[in-house]
Amino acid sequence: MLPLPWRDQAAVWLAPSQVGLALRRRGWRTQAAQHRDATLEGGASAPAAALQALAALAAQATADGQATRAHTRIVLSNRFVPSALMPGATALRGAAERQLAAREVLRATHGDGVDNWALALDTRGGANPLAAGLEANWLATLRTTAQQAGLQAVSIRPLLAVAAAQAWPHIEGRSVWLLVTEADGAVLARIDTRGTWQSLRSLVLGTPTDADALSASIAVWLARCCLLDGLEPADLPLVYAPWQWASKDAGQSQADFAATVTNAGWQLQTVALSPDALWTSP
Amino acid sequence: MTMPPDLEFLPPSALARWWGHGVLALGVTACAAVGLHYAQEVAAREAALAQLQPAVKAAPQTSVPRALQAEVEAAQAISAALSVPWEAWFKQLESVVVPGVVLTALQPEPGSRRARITGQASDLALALAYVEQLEQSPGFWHVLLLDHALQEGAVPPHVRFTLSAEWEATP
Repeated sequence: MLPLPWRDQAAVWLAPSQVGLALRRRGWRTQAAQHRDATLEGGASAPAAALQALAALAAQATADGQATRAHTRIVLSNRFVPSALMPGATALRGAAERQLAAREVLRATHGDGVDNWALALDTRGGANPLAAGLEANWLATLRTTAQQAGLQAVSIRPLLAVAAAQAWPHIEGRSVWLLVTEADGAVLARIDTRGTWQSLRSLVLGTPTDADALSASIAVWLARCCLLDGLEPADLPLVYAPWQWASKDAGQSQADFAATVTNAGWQLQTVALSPDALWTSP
Repeated sequence: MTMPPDLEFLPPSALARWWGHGVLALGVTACAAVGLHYAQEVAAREAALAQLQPAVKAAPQTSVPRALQAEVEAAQAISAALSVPWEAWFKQLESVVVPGVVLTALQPEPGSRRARITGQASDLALALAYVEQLEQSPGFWHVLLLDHALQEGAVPPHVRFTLSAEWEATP
């Protein structure tokens, strides 16, 4: 049978404790994606270990005769991609000034190491656009690793951007909280009716003992963030985007978390966020 | 309308960057080629039409010799004269009778329906009576007495007259 003229698709997920590769063949009949994942130890060597794990997963896929040169969307854990808001960005003139301002904003939190970072700036945002940074050598190694593994990267984005794009129909025109959770942490943002990001906070999760403990720790952190913004939980709805990479008990843990925060007074709205969303995302 | 953030660490590839420009250039080139081909086809068509119609265009510019022009005009006059129904004209002329008036000559004028009639009458009053009766006869109009002369030396003396009459075709 002749190969079809369009490319297969792939999604890569890189996090300190988990690396995943999903491949989907394209053709006359849409096929379910085939997931591969590996669990990592985390820790300080997590970025390098994640790249090694990705190379191993891609090598397995190639050995199994699965797609090569697939169009690949790479999603990075928010733990790998420090982000910040740039207040007053509307006064900046041109891309050079925005790059400089973003680097200084990130430097205030992460030190002079940001001089070696590659930056990604939100050009669509309003008064407080997002800025994100990534160690430039690690990004170059990631691209090389993907290329050597036969994956043609078409997108490298942090999970926060993927989640915001997926949840935006539920956010647009409303003042909401956006909560993005993953295995290693969580990010909470407050967005107003004009789509302007008002605050951005992140939570690093250690090794959770169980789902109840995880839900409780996130709920406590949510209450603290709410107080820092001078709001009550009931003031704004909470759009909840939990990232799940082929987790078999995801449904139960999400239900537990929903019950916990609802009891705390939050108006919860859950948005499904999985690798399958990447196939249809812009 | 607000948009979600577009945090993207992968710069757009050179291929993607130039793809749109390449397609645009290709389209413009194709349009130019089609336009050029069209212009060439129009020029070729006009040239072919010019080759097919040289005689028609040159005809008005050719000069006709005078002798030939005179022959043509004479032929046209004969044709016009032949087209007059002279037989019916003669019968109608014969039907007009005035005692004392005789016709001596009949000469059609070329290129028209008019004829010159010469005759004799006993006196001028009879000649005028003939003119009046001919005028009232169906088929004749514009009957004019051109001249008259008294023939005093003739025996008996009479008046010679000449008139012209036009044949009016009846439907």
